[in-house]
Amino acid sequence: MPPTQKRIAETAATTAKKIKTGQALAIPEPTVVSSSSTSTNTLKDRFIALLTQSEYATAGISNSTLKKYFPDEEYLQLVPIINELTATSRLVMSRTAKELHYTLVEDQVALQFVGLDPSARMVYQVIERTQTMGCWTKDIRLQTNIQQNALTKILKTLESRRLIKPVKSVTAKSKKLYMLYDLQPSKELTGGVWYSNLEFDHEFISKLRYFLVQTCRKRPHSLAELHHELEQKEISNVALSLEDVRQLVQTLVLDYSLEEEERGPNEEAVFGVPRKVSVPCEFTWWEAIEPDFGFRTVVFEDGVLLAPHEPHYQTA
Amino acid sequence: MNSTSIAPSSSPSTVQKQAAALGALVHRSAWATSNPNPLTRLALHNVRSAFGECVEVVADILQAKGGRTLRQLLLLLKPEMDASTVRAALLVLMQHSLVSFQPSTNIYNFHLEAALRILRWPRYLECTKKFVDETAAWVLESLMLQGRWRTVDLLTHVSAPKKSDRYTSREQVLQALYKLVQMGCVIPAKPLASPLDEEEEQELIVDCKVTEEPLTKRVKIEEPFSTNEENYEDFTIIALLEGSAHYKATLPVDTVWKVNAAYFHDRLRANTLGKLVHERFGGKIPSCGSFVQAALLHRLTLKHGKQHSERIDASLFTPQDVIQHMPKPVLQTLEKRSGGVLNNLTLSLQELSRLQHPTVLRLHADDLFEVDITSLMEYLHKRMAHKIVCDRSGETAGRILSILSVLGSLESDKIAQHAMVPVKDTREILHRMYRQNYLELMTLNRSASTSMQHYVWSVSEQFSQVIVRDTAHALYNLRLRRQRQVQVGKEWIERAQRAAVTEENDHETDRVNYQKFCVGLERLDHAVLQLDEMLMVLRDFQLR
Repeated sequence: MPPTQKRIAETAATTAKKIKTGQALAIPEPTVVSSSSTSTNTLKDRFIALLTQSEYATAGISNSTLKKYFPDEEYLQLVPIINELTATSRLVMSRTAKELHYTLVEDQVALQFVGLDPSARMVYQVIERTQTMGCWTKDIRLQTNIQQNALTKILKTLESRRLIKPVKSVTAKSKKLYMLYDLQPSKELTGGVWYSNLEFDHEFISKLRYFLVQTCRKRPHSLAELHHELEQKEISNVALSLEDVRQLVQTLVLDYSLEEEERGPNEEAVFGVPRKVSVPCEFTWWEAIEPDFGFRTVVFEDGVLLAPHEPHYQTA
Repeated sequence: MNSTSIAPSSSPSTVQKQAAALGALVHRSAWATSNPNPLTRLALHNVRSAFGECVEVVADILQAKGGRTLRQLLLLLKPEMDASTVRAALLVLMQHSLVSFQPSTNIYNFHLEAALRILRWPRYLECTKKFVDETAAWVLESLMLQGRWRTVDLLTHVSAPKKSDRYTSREQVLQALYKLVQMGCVIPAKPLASPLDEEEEQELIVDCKVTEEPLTKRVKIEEPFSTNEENYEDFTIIALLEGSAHYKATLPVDTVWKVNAAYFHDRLRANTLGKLVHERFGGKIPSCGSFVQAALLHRLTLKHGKQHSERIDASLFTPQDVIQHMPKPVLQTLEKRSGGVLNNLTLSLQELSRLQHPTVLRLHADDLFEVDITSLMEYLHKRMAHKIVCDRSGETAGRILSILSVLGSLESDKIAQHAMVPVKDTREILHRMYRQNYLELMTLNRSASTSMQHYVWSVSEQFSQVIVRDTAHALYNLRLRRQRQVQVGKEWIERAQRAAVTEENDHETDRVNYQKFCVGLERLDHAVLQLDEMLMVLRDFQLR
């Protein structure tokens, strides 16, 4: 339970200021009616103004740099301000190898964290570290040591505040992964453009391959030209990159459906359909290798049958 | 090949037990069971089909035990066969160059390659019919069946009128044999060493403890295999041979001839590679397949024929060298173009030497070329291996094989990414190919912990040998299956033959069954021919 604070009547100016900065929903800060309160607010404003400067807005400000701007007594007076801002999630502290860094959080973002207890923040931090790879529930539990029931509640709370979202992975469809709400899951999770609804889209790939072969059959094309053709003809609903097209073409080359034609050293490689090559390898009855081939029935399309061998039984 | 469905047998373990209990239809001798190599089993099965069980048993022992003397063979085969049978079997094997005798050590050695080639005789005959004529094919067939023959005996046998309905004059046969010798299809055979010299014979007589025969009983010495009773010295043929200068020089009367299998393999290789080049590059350079085939035929002539090259390296050729081997329509096409035959041919060959994947020709000088047989054969083997793997395990397996052949060793995730197949499916295919011995799996440990192990896949070093073994195995099984089908259909064959004699035995159902039976046999034969062709390309076609 957060410590109770002495509520003091707010002045109109203070209230207006709070609304402007979005602090209306926050726990009202204790207003000490004293001569130092004005100087504290000024110090706070200066502190916030410093952190919003472009050089410190994203990476934050280091402790040593802060001391330069706020020497001696002013630095000591910053401490309650820092605590207050941290409590309201407006300030985030991080540690590098050498020292602390302070980064200011936007008001709207800070609002989302208001009311979250430390366990929830811990869970959020664990999920934040995994970035686009996401984190399994089990891993969160192991890292935070929070019981399953409590964890489930925390995850629901975070979900409802749109801080995290559940995603599924193509490698483990039944398990839930959590990641930050604004991030897009990585290719390892979604499978990339070749997956739809977590299923590998064989038909889509076959369609693309067929299109590429037909295009190259008319005349040889380079990768860029093939990419352009795919975009123009709108074969795919999803945007395919040049790398995706290269991957498709590579599989066709490996299957001997396409071949790379030689050009000059400075010319781009083009791909064409090779002439059909028949190899002396027409046999397809590879079941004949099996040790029990003699006991199998061979049925041809036209009804001709090769009956299996009958085993010999020794009789007395 | 028509598509087929082969129903799996009911229970593998039961079936294997049943297979183990099989009787006469499975080729089995005391020695064969110990050799798991399908090539060996195929070779011995060929020997058995061609020459019978006794010959096969002797071949089996020689193959299993390595070189053996006659006495050692007799000791090993004592309960099964007597000395005369063993000697007769050895002589048959030697007659057909399946066994050779070393006089210095008195050891007989079995030649597996020659036994594997028995199935290929029809292919050699077909080839001879195409590039020479039917009479030459007939001469070759007689020589194949006999193993080796003297000039006079061969000519007498082939030109004997009662041997066929077709009249073949002695001159035609002589001319055919002359052509075959000139080309190198038929070569003189080294004289056979005496299978039993006097010393050994004396030993056999005296050493009765070894033979367990009474002192008074001598081992019967049979005369070496001689010409059959119907052969006689045909003086007309001798006169023809000795009357002409070029026949006298090329076909001495007492020379013993045998078939030169290496010639036919080189010839068939020329046809195969010519076809490959035509299919691959025919769109860019017209008739390029014919150029390559002509170059290889020229090389074949120098290697096996009577022609000799002035160059040290007989594999090099000029456009002038290959003109004589080119088909007439191709020459006419080259003639019609401006510049003449030689000029157009040189330009085409120079253009062909610039093509890659595979490299066809190497240019040594302005007009000196060499066919890059190694590159062509490697390309052919690669395409065959790809097709075999696709047929056995699916298109994705073929693609995985190509990926690993090009990129070397990879983890399964990377393979899945390159192949554009889900990781789970990729792993199933990889494990299936691993069980088929196409791939190898390496484990790389980064630390002692098993969770840090990396599994890396690569194409097996023995991959090409695995393919050959599988082909031989399938061929062997098909041969056994055919043998069984013939036994099963024996009754139908007999009834059909009886039906041909009188109309009373002609029955509709019988006729239909017999036709279906014949179709089934024909398909088995067709499959055997296809597999034999594959084996020939993979094993017998030289890479240089």
